[in-house]
Amino acid sequence: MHAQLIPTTLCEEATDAFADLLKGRADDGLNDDHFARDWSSLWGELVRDGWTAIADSADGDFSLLDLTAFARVWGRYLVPLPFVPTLAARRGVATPPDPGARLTYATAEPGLTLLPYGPVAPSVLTADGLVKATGLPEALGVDDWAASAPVTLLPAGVGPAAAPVRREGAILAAAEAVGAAAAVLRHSVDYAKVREQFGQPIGRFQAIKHRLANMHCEVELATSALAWACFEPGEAGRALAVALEHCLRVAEAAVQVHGGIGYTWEAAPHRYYRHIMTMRRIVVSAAGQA
Amino acid sequence: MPVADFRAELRSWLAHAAPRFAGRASVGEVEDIELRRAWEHEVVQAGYNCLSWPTQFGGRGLGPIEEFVFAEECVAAGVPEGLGRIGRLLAAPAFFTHGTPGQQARFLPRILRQDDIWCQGFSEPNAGSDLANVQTSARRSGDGYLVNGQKIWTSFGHYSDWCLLITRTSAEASRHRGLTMFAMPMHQPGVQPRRIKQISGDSEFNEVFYDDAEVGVDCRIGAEGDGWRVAMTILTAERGVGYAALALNDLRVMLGILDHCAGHDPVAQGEVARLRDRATVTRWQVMCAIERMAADRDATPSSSIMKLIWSELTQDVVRTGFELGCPEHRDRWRYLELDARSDTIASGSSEIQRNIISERVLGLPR
Repeated sequence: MHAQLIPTTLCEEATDAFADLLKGRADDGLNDDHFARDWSSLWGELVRDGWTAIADSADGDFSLLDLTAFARVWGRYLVPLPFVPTLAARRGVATPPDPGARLTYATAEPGLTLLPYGPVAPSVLTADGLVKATGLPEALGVDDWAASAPVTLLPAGVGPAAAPVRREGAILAAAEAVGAAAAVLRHSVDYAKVREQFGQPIGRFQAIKHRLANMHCEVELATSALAWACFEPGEAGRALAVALEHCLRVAEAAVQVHGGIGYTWEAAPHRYYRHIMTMRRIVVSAAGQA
Repeated sequence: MPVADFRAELRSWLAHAAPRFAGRASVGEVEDIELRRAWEHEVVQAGYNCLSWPTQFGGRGLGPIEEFVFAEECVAAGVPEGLGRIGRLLAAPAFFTHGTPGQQARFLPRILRQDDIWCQGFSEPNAGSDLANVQTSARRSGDGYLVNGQKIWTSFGHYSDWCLLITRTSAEASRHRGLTMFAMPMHQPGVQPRRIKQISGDSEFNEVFYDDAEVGVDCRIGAEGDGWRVAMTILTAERGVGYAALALNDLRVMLGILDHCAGHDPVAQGEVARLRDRATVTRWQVMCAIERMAADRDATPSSSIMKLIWSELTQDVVRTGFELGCPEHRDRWRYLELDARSDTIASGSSEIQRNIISERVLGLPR
């Protein structure tokens, strides 16, 4: 039994404020423009108001579990900025760099390379820790499934211990996926309330209701698995695999609840679906090495 | 006291008080009633019963976290479960929330000391998932009421002293509003329990016939017509962390046996590992709900989710045990495979829980 399994009141107030900020800036319907836009002004706001520095040093105001609450809020909006990897990286370094630095990580597996949020030379989390990259390494392509945006370099000489950063990065990436799963569930519920067939909202049919109830249970279990990963670091790999499996099933079910429209590019579900698939590879890869 | 210290205190007490139960796996065994009662009285004597009750009612005033730890340590020590579950976990919250001071003084100390065994009279042949369709009537007569009707699925019914009985007191009021809850004395000629043989072969529950059975006004819990509200308090408790903790304990014992049954077969081991991960996530789910309760945040929506998750997981676990076909535990898994069918039906079927989640948590239209 551990001291604090649910976010503190301080954290709840802060995540509410964070959610309000993002709702005003990023809740734009997730069309192609959302992913093509220049998000620099939002990044500027996040830096100015101190959001990018909330994870600085492991003994700051917020615990790792608290940070998962922020990552879950962030995950709702699929903003192509490396906010969550930046939190993970800053938490792991003794002297965090300029709060404006966009930090990210990459995974390189045979046949699959993912570099979320970064076609431009980032600081890359590798087996050797967070290393400065002077240009995008040849081996690290950019997966078109992941939203992307420019990132800057971590100043030379700043190197975290690799394994904890990788593990905490995996936990926070998983939390981002849990936020995405919660959001796509919300989209599905809203859709089921307004989409009518047989003269009534499809959300009145138990076949749909029960599927949505299952999705809700999966989001809850995925959230609980984050607590498991935070407090039992040795089991984080298993906990996160469970969390991401739940998220993936939620995304799949969301497409189903949306019916034909859910199969189209213009509808939102596939954005979450792709993001969760990408996060799943990153999380499994990172947690597996940690 | 920090939770870790409390756990250490419990372990040392259990090592001293319960060595005879060590290494026992009680799940899937029909246990001796006297053994269960005797152990329950030892728990009372040691002051470990009703840990989370307020001190004004004789409890220790501890949190749900300590209750959870107590349940975990008890299963680790192999001690049997007592008979007081319904009184302690269901009747008590009804009295805390809806009882008069006189009722609290009369009933709670006896529940605390395990003097009385309670049962729950909710379901009827025509009021299962549709609980508001209760037809058992309570009619005013002199200083009290006369009860007539039939209840069903009443666990502990044949040796209970009291029953949490939901009745219809008004035929005119709309379905939910015409209901009234009573603490019904079971030892009287007008109350006739009849045991029902279950698919497992057990006869642990009953149908109970009420034929002009008497109950005083002083045994009415809440106002006349307020029975639905009292029932919801009781059902929320039944789907909540207390029962989830007991289910997690059973799961822990079963997974231990499953490990043994899987032997060196890698496919079986993989399957057991997946079930264990599901049980671990469920445990964290319950612990998070406990913390929300301890922080006085609303845990009601979590109750249906927890109940759904542990009941369906339990069925997957017993099916795996059944299918692994381990000769040593064959009878146990055969029994559990049948017995666990009740988990997704009792205290609101999985279908009802999914309705609750979709309508009350997600806000979908009825």
